[in-house]
Amino acid sequence: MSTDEPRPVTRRTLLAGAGAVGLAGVFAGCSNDGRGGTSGAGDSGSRAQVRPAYVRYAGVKPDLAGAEYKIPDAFNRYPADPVTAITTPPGDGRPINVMTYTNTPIPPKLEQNQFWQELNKRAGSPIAVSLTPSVDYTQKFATAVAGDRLGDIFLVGNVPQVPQMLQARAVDLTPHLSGDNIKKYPFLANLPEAAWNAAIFGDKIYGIPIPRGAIWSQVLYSRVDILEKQGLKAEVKSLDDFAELCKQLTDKRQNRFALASSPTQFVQCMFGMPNTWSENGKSVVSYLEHEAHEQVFEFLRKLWSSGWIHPDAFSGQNQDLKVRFGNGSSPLVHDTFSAWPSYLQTAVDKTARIGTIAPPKHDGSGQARIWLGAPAAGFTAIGKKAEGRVETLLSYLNFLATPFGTEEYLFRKFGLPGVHHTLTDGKPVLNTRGFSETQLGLLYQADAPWTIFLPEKEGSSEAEFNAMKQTCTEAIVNPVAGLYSETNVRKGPQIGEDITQVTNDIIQGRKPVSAWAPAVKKWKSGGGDKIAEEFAQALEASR
Amino acid sequence: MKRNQVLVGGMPMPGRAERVVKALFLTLICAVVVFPFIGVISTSLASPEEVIRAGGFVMFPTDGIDLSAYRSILSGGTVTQALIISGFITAVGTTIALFLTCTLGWALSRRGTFGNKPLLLLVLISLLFNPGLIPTYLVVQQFGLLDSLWAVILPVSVSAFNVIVVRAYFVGLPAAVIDSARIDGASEWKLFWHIGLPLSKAVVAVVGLFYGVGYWNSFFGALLYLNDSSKWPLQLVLRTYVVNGVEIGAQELGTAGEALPPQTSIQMAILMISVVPILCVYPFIQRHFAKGVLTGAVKG
Repeated sequence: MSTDEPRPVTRRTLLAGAGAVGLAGVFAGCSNDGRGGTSGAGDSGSRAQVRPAYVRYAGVKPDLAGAEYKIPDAFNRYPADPVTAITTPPGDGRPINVMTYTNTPIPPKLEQNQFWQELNKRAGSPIAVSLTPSVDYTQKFATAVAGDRLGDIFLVGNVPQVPQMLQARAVDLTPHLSGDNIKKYPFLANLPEAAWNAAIFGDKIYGIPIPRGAIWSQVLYSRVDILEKQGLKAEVKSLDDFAELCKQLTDKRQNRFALASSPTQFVQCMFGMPNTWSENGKSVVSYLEHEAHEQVFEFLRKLWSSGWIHPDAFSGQNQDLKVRFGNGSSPLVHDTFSAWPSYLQTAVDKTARIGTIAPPKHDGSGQARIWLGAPAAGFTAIGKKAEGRVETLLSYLNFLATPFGTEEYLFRKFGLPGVHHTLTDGKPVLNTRGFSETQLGLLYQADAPWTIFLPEKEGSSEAEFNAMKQTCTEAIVNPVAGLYSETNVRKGPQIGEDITQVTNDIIQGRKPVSAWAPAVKKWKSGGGDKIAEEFAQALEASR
Repeated sequence: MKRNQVLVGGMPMPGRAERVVKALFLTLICAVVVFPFIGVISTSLASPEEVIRAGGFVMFPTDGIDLSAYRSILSGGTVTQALIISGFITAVGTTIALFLTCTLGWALSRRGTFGNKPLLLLVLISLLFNPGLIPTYLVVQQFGLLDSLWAVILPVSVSAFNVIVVRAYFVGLPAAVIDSARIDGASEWKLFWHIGLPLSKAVVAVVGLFYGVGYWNSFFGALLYLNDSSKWPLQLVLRTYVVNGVEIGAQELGTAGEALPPQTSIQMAILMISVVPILCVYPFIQRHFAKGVLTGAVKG
């Protein structure tokens, strides 16, 4: 459910962050410099030279190539003889201190962790990782900035004045990564072009992005087996068609509700709303101002009041969605493409089949476009204190970005054969030990471009590939994705939370649809207008 | 009052109907507390299939007992090690905190000690104003405590609220006892150690419990000050399991694995592991509880 990273910003965090920046006290002027361009092709002038060159890695041939559809490559099996992509360990023998976050339980300590020991050997340097649960990372990051203890490599947290913070605390990587210079690090050069926007500030590259993009687009998952049992097709042609499907799938005597959560974004896509922001001449406009909101709400209220949405949709946790979908009590759920494996893993019924439903235009006049996921999940920077070791650290990150199909990738994700995973017929399966020892937060330091690989069930990789091909190729791009707005960092989370609250209240009938217009007005005056202005400037400057 | 009425505790015995209503009401209240707890235990012990089938919460497991949730948490030794660390933090922290709080409370309760009033004011001010995240971090850093367990123990070893409670208790001790001890030649330290403290066991027990629970549950200090996750206390380690469920979690792994127990059973197992030690301590301190908290609040 995450087009954004989980970073709860409370009043305290914001103050803390502001404090961090204030106390560090060495930041230069606060102009909101422009940022990297939104598309590689659209860049011109000096910016085009700053941008790292994109060199696609061709060492591994995918089973299904996604490049022409702007989606990830898909694999049915892990290549039998993985390519050894890196021959000499990147490290210099000195410890590499990394600060990043994690979404999984922490691993056993080094002495008891064979994966970690092997990683140190392969990296050529002892890796010391400071992990923080992702929800707490903002606070940890703010204190680390204030105390100047960011480590050699750090994932940049969501604090105010990021450009100034980077200038003071991070190494300018432009001389090492801009243009053809990046070719020295072939696997960093293999990262998708759009992902770099997040790491480019003004005319400087400050980090290595953690790529996402299409895989983070949201889609309506369906339990094809349940639909088929009822003689229904996993396809809808219009708004009414969708309502009818929900009605058919709901069976209160069996405690079954069609939708695990409110399909808000799905319906918004049906009405052609832009992906968060849209360009209007030289300004940008938020999707909140789109005229179709009232119609969207009317429809969602109908879904809710008819009991077609699970009653716990607004109160449960993300994990509950998977449970409801897995046990069949909600055969439809809206989630990101990246969630596919977790739905495969939570399916109780072994005959369960997962499919997706693409949104149609509300009036039935064709297929609607979904929103393309954010191009990056964040970026990691290199600390100024480690300036003398930049090349070593970039080589280490290059090692972490080795793509699917390589020996290094297999090791990073699945550990050692026989110890952490078993490899049968090209399907590596992590065992419990593997699951616990490999959680060193490596994928939030640097990662390869996403690949579709679902060994859990035969045919799943192809199913997801086809679903993405159908929806993501024409997906709507957020024009300001990866651009920076100071107000968005400071006030965005708060005013965004207010909007979510009003949205949920209206759908559940606690507030009338007429409450929407004043809420948007409040959002605009509370910072929305300023955010739009800053994004417009950033967009202009990025061209 | 009727002559042949039965008295219970000096009060007339209520009628049958009233007793039934009361019993029902109390049973209901108990059920409201007990049932979710049974649910927590059951879910932590239910089989993964049953948890998913039931939609996440099992009341009475029918498939028999399944310890996979506990096994998945305790494998790898991280949690066991964190338990030991938490035990250390709680034991040492509570001892230090009690010592500091009691001595400070004693000093503030004695009239005419040096700087009594300004010191008391300082303590009270800290109730109103909080230093905030970054300043506290910088102080801890400048004391060189980062990455040591002392960073988790020392900054929270004096709580102004507890000092006030202890001081109020000391103020309420009979002056005659203390005066007579002083006439017998007792030093101030002897007064505190041999007269004041033994008379105040109730409040010490209660404040000790406050500190103990505080240290046992604390995770935020460890989160900020301890970079090395092998030094993390139990609550912070367990947090990484819970956060996993709330946020993107497994989907971000992008890897196939042997089926893990459902998030709910893991969360419930975590709840059991973190609650049980504290539950074991409660019965021993409970008898002091009402007295310790109330004394000092109302003089009687």
